[in-house]
Amino acid sequence: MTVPLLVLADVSRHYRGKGGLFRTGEAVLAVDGVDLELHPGETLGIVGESGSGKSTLGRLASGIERPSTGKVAFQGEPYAPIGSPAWRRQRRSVQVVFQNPSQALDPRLSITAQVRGAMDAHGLTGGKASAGSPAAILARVGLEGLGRRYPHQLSGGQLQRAVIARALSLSPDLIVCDEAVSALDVSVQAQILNLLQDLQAELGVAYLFISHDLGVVRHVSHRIAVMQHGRIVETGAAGDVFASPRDAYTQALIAALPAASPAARRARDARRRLELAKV
Amino acid sequence: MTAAVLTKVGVGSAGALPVEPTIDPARAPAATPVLAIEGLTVGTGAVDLVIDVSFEVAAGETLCLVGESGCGKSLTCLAAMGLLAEPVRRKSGSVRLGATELTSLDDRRLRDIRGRDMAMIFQDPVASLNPVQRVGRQVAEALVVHEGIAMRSAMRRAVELLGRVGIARPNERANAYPHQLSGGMCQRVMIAMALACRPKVIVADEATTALDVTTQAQILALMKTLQDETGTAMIFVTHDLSVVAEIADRVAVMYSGRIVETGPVDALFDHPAHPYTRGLMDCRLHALSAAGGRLAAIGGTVPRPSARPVGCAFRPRCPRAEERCEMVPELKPFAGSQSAACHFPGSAR
Ligand SMILES: Nc1ncnc2c1ncn2[C@@H]1O[C@H](COP(=O)(O)OP(=O)(O)OP(=O)(O)O)[C@@H](O)[C@H]1O
Ligand SMILES: Nc1ncnc2c1ncn2[C@@H]1O[C@H](COP(=O)(O)OP(=O)(O)OP(=O)(O)O)[C@@H](O)[C@H]1O
Ligand code: SF4
Ligand SMILES: [Mg+2]
Ligand SMILES: [Mg+2]
Repeated sequence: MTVPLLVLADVSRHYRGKGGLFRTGEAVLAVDGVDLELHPGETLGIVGESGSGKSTLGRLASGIERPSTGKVAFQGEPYAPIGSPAWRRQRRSVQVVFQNPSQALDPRLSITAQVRGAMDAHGLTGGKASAGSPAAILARVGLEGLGRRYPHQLSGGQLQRAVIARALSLSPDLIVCDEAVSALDVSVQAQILNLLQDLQAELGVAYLFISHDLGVVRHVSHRIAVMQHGRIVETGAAGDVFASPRDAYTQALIAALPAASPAARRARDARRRLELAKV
Repeated sequence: MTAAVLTKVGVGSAGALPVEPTIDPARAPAATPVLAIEGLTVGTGAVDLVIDVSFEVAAGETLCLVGESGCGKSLTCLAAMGLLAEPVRRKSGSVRLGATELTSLDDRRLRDIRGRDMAMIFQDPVASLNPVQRVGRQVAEALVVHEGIAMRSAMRRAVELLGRVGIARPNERANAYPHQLSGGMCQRVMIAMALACRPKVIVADEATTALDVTTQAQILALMKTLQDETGTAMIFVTHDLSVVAEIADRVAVMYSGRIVETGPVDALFDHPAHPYTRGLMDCRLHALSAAGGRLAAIGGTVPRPSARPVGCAFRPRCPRAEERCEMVPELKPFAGSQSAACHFPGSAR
């Protein structure tokens, strides 16, 4: 077993409550006593319903937010105080890709300028630690010849490639993908998922892959963790979690999945009617 | 339809409710469509955004409109509802509700019909509700306007409707403002509003896209159950093919403003005729199917409406394209009640 890239030990994060009609003013425990490990070159998928704490977990894992209690260690060390030189080094190694690529990019800069800017900020331009020139990185993600374009001149899928290119330019060891393909059409989603998998095979980057789409997570992940109310209720090899879910909540999630085809739907409905009849 | 079944939907075990289908999903469209769109072209200035679109929906039937972002699904829905806004306008074509031609009606008559005979449900329920009005009141107002009943009895019926779409403690919830309810609950309120006047047609544009799988399953089951009860025709826009598998009787696939394939849902899944439909089917991912490996992505992107290629708009992305594809293919019958707009329908790449 390799040394883990990322370790979360009994990590919790609470926020002060927002109040509202059906909520008390007490604290929201967004992440509640989570333990997990992620190894170099591995993809850990995080699934769960809206509000289960996936994004909060992603922010804690990437160090951009700190736990209320518990420990997060990246490459064996806790994240350094935000803003410190050590933090800036760690920040380079951990990149985050969010759902909405147009908000992640500067509308006033060309795509090349954004990639170059990120590299300059970390003193990487032309250096040996970098993944290559901005043009080479853009070509790597399939944006060859589009470097002079501005964000508004690109499609959603191209924008997400640009965000991934900027992340790659810093040669990260970990990329946290928070709903990174959720806003894309299936065809474009497939292009981006293929790209992420190619990059992992070539560069050994690890992914913490957060999505509410169980099909996508199943496809990209080696292991999967299922979250409910801030806790991880089940983890396991991707195939096992879906083929033989142990936790009742995971079973409910899978039972709620829409059918893969009309034939599969009819078979499922017939099965359920039979079960109902038996009761 | 009994209230007992509805309650079950509301309390909601996670999965879709296995109600015995009262309508054979594979049957052909009925002879008298509730809504018929013919030769609809929508656009701005010289640019066409929806081109020569025709389809029909019958009572109790669900037609799913699918296709990538920007293919014209929403504009088709808005045109059907008479809700297009400048600079986008209907350039030609007809929209018939029963025997009534909607495109020749004035705004007042059209407003009358919307809500009473036709209702639309949008993707973002929170944004579609009035944020400063209690949800019970919003449902009640739809009833007052379209049924002409008094506010007091409308409020009673609104609470009843909220209960029927599976909102627990509807009496209390009727007093809530939209931001005090979850996304799933707001979508139930939208459905209650759409159902308030038992419309003949419901147009649902990505109505479950923003919801969790468990909530989505409940809402889909609810819509199917209510549809079986009321015989409402439904146009359901989604980009999620497993939602299509769940709810559609027939499917129309749109690409770059045109319908490129249409047919019964089973036919489209079993033997898609158009290379674009095949491509969409190939990049599906399902949690219960074997994983791993490279995905069969469709390369490239949907062309901008102002820069469509000559001939078949799918040509630059099509693995099957030949010289003949520089001519626009017509939508022609392929097999059974399936049609495709392709010079080489059904042939492998
Ligand atoms: N900055 C914050 N302040 C207060 N509460 C927060 C904050 N961030 C998250 N929460 C709360 O923590 C819980 C978990 O939220 P989180 O965004 O991590 O969930 P999620 O699983 O990513 O949901 P989604 O699928 O909707 O993105 C929710 O109840 C949320 O309202
Ligand atoms: N007001 C407008 N002015 C100009 N073009 C428009 C306008 N509204 C929509 N369009 C264009 O018309 C085309 C069809 O848009 P439409 O919203 O119908 O797509 P859609 O299939 O619903 O896509 P999505 O899945 O993203 O909702 C798109 O290319 C869009 O950019
Ligand atoms: S007409 Fe030609 S380019 Fe268009 S889908 Fe058919 S084969 Fe492909
Ligand atoms: Mg989130
Ligand atoms: Mg739309």
